[in-house]
Amino acid sequence: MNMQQRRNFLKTLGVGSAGLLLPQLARAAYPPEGVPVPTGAYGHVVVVGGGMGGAAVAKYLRLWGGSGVKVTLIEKNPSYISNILSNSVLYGKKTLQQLTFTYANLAKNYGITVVRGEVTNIDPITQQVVLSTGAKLAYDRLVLSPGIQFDVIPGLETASAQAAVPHAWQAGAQTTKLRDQIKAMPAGGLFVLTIPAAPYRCPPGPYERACVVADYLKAYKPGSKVMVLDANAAITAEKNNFTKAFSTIHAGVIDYRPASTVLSIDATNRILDTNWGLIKANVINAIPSQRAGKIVTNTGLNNATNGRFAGVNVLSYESTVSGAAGIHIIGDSSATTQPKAGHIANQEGKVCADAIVRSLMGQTPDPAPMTNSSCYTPITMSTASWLSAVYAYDAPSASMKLVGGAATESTSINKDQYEEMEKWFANLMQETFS
Amino acid sequence: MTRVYKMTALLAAAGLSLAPALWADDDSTSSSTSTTPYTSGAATLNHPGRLLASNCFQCHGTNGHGMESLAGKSANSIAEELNEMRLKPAGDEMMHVHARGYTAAQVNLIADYLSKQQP
Repeated sequence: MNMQQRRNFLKTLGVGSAGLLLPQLARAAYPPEGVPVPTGAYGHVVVVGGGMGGAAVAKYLRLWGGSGVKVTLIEKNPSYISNILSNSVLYGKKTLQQLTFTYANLAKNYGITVVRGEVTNIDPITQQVVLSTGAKLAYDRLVLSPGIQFDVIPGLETASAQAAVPHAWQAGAQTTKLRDQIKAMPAGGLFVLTIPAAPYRCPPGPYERACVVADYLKAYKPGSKVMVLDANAAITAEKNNFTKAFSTIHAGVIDYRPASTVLSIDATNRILDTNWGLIKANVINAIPSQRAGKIVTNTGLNNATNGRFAGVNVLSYESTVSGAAGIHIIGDSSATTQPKAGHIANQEGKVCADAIVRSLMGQTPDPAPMTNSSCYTPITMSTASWLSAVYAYDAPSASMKLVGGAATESTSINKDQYEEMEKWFANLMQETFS
Repeated sequence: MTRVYKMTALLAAAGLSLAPALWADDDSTSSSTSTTPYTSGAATLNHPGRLLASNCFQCHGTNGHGMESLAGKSANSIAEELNEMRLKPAGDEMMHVHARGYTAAQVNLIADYLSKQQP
């Protein structure tokens, strides 16, 4: 952490005595059976960001913190749109509506105070977060789970250029936009997908997208091609299944090019300037490189991965920035050995919740936490594979280490796994948001 | 009772102690009158397998109430099944991958925690 960052992080915010007037999205009808009313006797935890990590940490702080822990979840959007399965919107199997989850159950079932708002700054000395409205909220512990922000690809600086070349790597309006562009493609057209250098959100996701778009184009836009320009030297996740998919299932449709460089993109004429020369496409889906959410980078908590992500102690997910005690960062914003993905963000939320509850009670965190990552991957519009891994805390390296040294892929790509994928998704979302 | 003693030994080995109860009132998972340390709501809350078992919840639901529900199944049957899975090749069975990720002691803690949940 350099001095400027330190100054930014520690700068006093002129915290006044203005009363807290926060719009509340939902307030629990309380108490639900089994979870006691929060008194805050042990402490008040503020959670920023209601994605897979934030929702899970808020829920488990209340489940495991009992009456002693009060939880406020601050989220800028009225609901969460799942990135998981959002590729299925592109081929018409799911709607965004089916991927949308509200915070009503978290409020009602667990007595979490859900506040709609955007946190713009943190005062670690007075332990307050500042919202864009100027309102301030005090915390005993703060958990940041703000997801990612996107870097700008040269040529895509303007809003109109970004709208013309959607990344659709944050499910929402861009997902619909990309779907519409694919639907409007002519037969014999070219779809170009660009993949940023790792680490990025959802390692298998871009390859999955190449596969399902290829499958859609085969069915509805015959003769079309999918060119994949990967900044990485090789497929970064689920290599066996994607290699099989590219070379057999989607052979002749997917043109996979590792170690690619995209210099710039002309959004108006849909031309990419690359190490392979100029490439004219019908649809460009350029996924930019990513960094931790704005609240992390704005407050100097981005001390890892060349300033892109937040260094954390994986026993508690507390920041490793000095002066940031009591501030925890989970999910895609944190720099760990674990993938940036929703299933494991949920578990990081539970490890963090467990550590905070213990800490508020004067105990130490579990010295040997475990996490796991699982995901199903559609390879066609009706078949899927999967990838799974278990991580254990490794004391010598103070990191989460893959048990067995590697993640494991399914040996088959089939329809049964596509159905399992639907069940997995339903359970994961139920566990996170209900 | 043998299992209870084993569990206690595991706790000591892991340097964990049962925390004082946070919740004054029982939670809804409490239904047993057994004398094991984890059967009351508060004790279940502080069960040393809590965080470990939560690795199952993404698919099997909160406290095991989800896909192929595990809540309230006997600890022996859960542990036995996991121990069998560990020895099988992964193939297309995702659970075989998960099962081999945990030690026998961890499997016992997970199984004990899930068995204490109300079905």
